[in-house]
Amino acid sequence: MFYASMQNKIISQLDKDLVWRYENLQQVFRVSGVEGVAEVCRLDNLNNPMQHGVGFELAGPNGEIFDGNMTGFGREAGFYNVNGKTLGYTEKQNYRFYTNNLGDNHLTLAVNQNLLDDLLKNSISNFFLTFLLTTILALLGGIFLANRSHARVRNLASFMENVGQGNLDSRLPISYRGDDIDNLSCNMNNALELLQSQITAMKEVSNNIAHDLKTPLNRLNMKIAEAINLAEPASPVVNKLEDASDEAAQINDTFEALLRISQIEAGARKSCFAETDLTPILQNVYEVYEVVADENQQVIDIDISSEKLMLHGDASLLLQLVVNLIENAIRHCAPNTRIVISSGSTDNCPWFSVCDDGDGIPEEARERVFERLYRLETSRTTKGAGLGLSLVRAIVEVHGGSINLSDNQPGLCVKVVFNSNSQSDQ
Amino acid sequence: MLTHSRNKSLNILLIEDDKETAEYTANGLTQAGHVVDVVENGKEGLLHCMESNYDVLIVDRMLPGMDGLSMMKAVRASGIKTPALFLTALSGVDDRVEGLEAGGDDYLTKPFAFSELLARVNALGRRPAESKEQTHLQVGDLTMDLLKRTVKRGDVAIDLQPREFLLLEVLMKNEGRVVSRTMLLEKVWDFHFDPKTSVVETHISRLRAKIDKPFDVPLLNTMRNIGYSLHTPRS
Repeated sequence: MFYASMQNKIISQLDKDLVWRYENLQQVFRVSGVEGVAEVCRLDNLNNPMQHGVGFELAGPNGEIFDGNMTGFGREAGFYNVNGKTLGYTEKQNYRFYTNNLGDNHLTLAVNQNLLDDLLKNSISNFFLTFLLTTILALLGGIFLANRSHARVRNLASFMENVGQGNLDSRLPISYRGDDIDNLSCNMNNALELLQSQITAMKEVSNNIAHDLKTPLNRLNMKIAEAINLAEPASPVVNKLEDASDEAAQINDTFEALLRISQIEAGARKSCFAETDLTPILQNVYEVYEVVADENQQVIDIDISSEKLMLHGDASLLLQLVVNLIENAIRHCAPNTRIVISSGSTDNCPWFSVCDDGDGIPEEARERVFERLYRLETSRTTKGAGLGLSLVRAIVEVHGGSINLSDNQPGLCVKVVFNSNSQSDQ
Repeated sequence: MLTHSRNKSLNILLIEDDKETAEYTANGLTQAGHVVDVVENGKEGLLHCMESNYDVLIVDRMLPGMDGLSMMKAVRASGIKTPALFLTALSGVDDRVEGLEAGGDDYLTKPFAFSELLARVNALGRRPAESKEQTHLQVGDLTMDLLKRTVKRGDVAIDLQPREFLLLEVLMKNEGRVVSRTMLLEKVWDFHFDPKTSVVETHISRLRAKIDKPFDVPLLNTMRNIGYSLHTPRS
């Protein structure tokens, strides 16, 4: 189709050329008559022999031929297609003829179509070749550029992973290109600079708070201890002083827990994360708490994966995570409750759960229990500041995991799912 | 204040800039039969360590001039192996690890109970004498074979779970000394936080049921609000 439309265009161009030549010869005819026309045509023909280029026939009113290199054609005005064989040339050649009047005479002009056909074919094949080359070059260039950007984006990703692991010292390299990735890198470096200075400031503040709050707390503690030593042993005063000491300890515990949660959330310890197996941690906690639950007339069962459950984390934080969940179940459940520790790996993501068949938590409170200092009305009377689950969530999140509370029908099921190990490996 | 006849007198260097804490701590330690030198900053602490031979160092972390962590690193770098305890307000998640990495042997955060400090100092003070590995432990007629992992009272074999064995081992190695609840949590269960349930009490009571209940003479003693001590009855 493309070829046909190109050919039509070429024929109409040929026709225009033929008409243009005819009009020029008309001028010549007006000035120099038939002889002049014949002379010009002969010269044209000499420069462009018929086989390759142009031809003509000049005939009188009665068909007598004055001149030309072809004969017996085109008395009627108009355009014709003529095969070379009719002219005594090869069959492969095609000609375009144009006949019109010059006064009473007839002038036929011819042009070889094949030259243009060849040109067309060449153009088309050139066009396709060029198109192909351009496409290949564009593709190669695209692949090269994409690879280069991809490598830089990959660098960005591994850099972010590194930063995510708590290495706030690292900075992205800035190239000379000044492109989008450079802008992004520059912005990220600035953000990191700010983050790092804020974390340093925060650490300083918490150290100062620790010092300024704990020094008087420590003195209070020492004074109470000295007072107990001075008092009559086992007197009511000693009991009151011991109560005061417990209250001071409670203030300290709450403060410590809040500080600890903030520090974990801020990513403290992340730089010490290592490949850690969850299975022995769960096994250990089970062994420690089996007897504690037994003492409370509760039962702990274990249904954990015998395989290693590797994740990138901190063993002591993970231990505290599991302990907090088990202790929550033990402390908030009545005697005869059964607590089950389960674990496994789904889609390469390690998980564990602690489920009980106790009273559970109402659905509307399940999200709120993670808030700092939030306590269910029913547990107001038990010891603790309501920070256990906030700490749990902070530990889960710093390990890139998620925690979910659901109805165990009856009871509560707490499930913690970590990221796939292969992901956090890198 | 608590004193135990089986604790030897220790030479202690206390490096603490808060005067009240320093006085309270030094008094307590002196009453417990120890000899205490007090200095207020890290530089002096380092000099004292180099000049005298102490049994135990008690080091605050936030000190004027050279802080406790840098001082400890300098002490260890100069080849002094004296057991050291950090006594500090810094209780962050990384702080304890930092302290131990700098060369501390134990870490206690303020506010602290004096009995806890004393228990830890006494435990640290016995260390150098026990550099050679023991294979047998004995308290009264209670014996422990650390290689065969067996425990007997007299001729009666006692079957213990691995964790109970470790609990008894810690108590036996500290014969006659008080081992605090938190020391047990750290050494036996590797818990560096305070559990909200009676983990230690429950396990001690299980252990007591195995090593004491069936026998005439009790060895495992509860020191109220402080910890536990394994020893033969004192006359």
